[in-house]
Amino acid sequence: MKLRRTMLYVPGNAPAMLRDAHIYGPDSVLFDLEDAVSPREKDAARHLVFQALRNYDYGGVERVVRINGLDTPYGLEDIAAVVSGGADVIRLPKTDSPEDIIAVERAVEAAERRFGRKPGSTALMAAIESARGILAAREIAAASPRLVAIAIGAEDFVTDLHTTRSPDGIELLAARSLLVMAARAAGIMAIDTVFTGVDDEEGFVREARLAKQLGFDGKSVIHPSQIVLAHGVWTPTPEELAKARRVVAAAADAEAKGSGVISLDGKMIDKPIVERALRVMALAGEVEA
Amino acid sequence: MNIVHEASSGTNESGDARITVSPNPSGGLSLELRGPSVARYGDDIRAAALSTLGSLGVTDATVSITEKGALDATIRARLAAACGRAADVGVTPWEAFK
Amino acid sequence: MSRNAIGRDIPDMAPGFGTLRGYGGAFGTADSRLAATSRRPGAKVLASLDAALDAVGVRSGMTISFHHHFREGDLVVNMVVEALARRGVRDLVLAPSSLTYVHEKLIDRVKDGTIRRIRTSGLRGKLADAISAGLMDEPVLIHSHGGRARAMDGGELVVDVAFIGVPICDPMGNATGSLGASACGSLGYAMVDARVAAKVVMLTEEIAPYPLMPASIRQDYVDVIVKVDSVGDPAGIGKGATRMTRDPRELLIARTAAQAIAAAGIIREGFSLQTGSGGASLAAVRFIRELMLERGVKASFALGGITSQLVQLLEEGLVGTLLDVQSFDADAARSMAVNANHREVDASYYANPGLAGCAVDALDVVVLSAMEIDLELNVNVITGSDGVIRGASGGHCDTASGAALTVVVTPLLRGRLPSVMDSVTNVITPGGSVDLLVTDRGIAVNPARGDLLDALVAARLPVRDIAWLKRLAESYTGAPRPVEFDDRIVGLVEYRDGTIIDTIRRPKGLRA
Repeated sequence: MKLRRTMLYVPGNAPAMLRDAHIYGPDSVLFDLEDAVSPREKDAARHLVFQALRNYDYGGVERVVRINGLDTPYGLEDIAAVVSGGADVIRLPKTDSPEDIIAVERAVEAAERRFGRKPGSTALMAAIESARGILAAREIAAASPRLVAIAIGAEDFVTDLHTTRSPDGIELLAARSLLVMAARAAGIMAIDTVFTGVDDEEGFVREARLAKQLGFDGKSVIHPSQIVLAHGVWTPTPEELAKARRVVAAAADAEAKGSGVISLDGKMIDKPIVERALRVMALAGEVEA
Repeated sequence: MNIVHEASSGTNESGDARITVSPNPSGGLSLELRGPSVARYGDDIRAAALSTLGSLGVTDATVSITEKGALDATIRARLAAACGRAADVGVTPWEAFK
Repeated sequence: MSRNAIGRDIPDMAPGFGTLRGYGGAFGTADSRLAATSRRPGAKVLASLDAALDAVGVRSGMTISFHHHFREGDLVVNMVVEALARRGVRDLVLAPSSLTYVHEKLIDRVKDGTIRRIRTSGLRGKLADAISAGLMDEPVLIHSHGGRARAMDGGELVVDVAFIGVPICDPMGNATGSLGASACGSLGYAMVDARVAAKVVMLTEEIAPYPLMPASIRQDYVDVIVKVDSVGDPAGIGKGATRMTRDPRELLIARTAAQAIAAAGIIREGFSLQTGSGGASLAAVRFIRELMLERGVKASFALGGITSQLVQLLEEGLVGTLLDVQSFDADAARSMAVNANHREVDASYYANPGLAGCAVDALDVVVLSAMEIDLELNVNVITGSDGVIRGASGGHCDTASGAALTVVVTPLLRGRLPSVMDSVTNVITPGGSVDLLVTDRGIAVNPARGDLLDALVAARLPVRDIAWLKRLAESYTGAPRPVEFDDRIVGLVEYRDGTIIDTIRRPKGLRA
């Protein structure tokens, strides 16, 4: 299982940070051509990200690029640069409908042909940042086989909702849950929004725990210091891991005996428990799921 | 690419370069280079700049590079952006970069 | 037999005592009242620097010393050297504990012959540029803090006059660095000068009632006191609190260093530590502190240049004693004045290898920075990648030699230049005294420390071959063209024991 516990934002116009953002240990790096780059610098950032993708070795860490939407003058050229550069994933911002995804998919297909890249090699990820988008999350999540995850962008979303962000995130609860359900229904991942208080470690951990409990696979992070914290939240405790190992061993035992009934410590174990245990082991890096 | 007016790209921050491209009235390429890495990497930076100009088909230009420890990839990106601006070309021939 | 001043007959000789001198009066001379006045508090306070120079008799060719506790705020070196130049003194040997950016005026004093030779821990700015370009006929001698103390206490460096700037002293010359407008905290480097110099001139901003205690510099060493308007610019002496870096790269290096130190088994009850005052080296304190809290252990002492971060450890009870040879910020200076466990130590106590013991030998771990490090783990902190002097030896080789575990921290690249290379431009600290190199791309272990390698691998830390780190750096930058030097030797690098570990040559093309 490819983990996406953390996706580290790197401003697209910052050459020193683009060089080796993976050293902080995120599961993915996320080069930003959108909100982190002013309109005057869109072209320059695009060139930097293109060169970074072409020249730097990120040690196998997934390289995601957030492009500008196709409704901007930058979107198409962003896709050309990023596909030509060889990004692993294109993240589309402000996705409101499945049509947004389909349009990007076509542009990416065309770019793959143009630059001689393997068809289908560029994955997609959609960030949903409006009420309309959240209500269309199910269709968005299923809009393209290239989609590997959907994410929620909270700042625009709460503005759209006519509210503001609160520490406990009550205003985001329904949207987060809908997003996770849409992702699961489509068999893809759900990524939580950024936490902007870089110095507020406690607040970050609280929000990450909430996201994990709601079912999210990870969070976008805006500072390297948040990576260790997020991984702490998503990494199973030794107790959880020990239990998962025993569950999985019991299941293997039952299978070896040709028995349909799995039991552990005298109790019968259901399939979902085995599945959860496998996910725990995958999060600990012990199995490929 | 035909350089029609002066344009710049990049910053003076560490790890970056500030590059200005302008028309060269006497024709050909004229390259000026300064910065802390020039003594030890001047040839590499010059080669990166020339190959970028070649990829973009820029044959007549005055290029001024002030680097602050930029790597070749950054030099190429800043120069390509400056050329695009100086040539008023918004669409980059990405396939031209090897 | 002869009659003494009070009329008693005293023999000329006594068995076992040789020649005897007869008593000549309560103050050695007939005019007792005048003599007594000359030793009363205030008698050694002179009206001007020139009067002080007259009194101690500075002559051409002498060796004069200074301390660098006022760092970039120092006004004393320039003030005294200018005064000596005006008096026509020539061929001076300048022996400060260190020099900084603010001493570029000395260029003119070298040119006009006032200064013939310089020995210092560090050189920066235009003075360093000029010396690198061949300003001086004699090479500058770069010493370590411990090496300077060794040379002074051992009589190899004879100081004729020490000029000691202080924020405040009493009329007898008892001085502290902890009080006053230009408070700088510890006067650790100046304490050695006061002890060994033939004459001591104290320059002070303020004269306090007698006795000023506790005193860093004692009255018995001070010959002359001059009150001056200012000895230092507080803005250059040190900020209120040293800021911890927020640079994620430095924090990553610091965290990795702390993890490596823990893996090496150092973070246990009663361990001792020293760190630098900036960047990843200082930031290591933060992560070491977290590991101490996690493990419930306390350190016995922290040594060297003291910052607010170490003061915090002391105040939290996480370290028992601070041994402060130099206070890097106002928090440290304040703490030393009020906290009995924050102790001032002099440079000999700190790092002198020539006496029977120094504190660096009791260190469990030191975290040091580097400008360059090579495949042999030799460290350069004195010359830049262009071969020009711009750094300081400081306590680098002293602590590396003394500490049980020496950790060098550096980012793999600085700008475009790799920090790891085949051979460093100049060696301050020999690789034999370095155990670990911690970078943002992995840790290299001294091959002689197989035990450490095993411990770090067991802790799943990112251990790499140092040659691998070098190749990784060059995969980003390309191989740098070597700096070329000519034959002119502009500097000698002295190891702490007084031997010469390297020479600094003039980069080709530079001319004074």
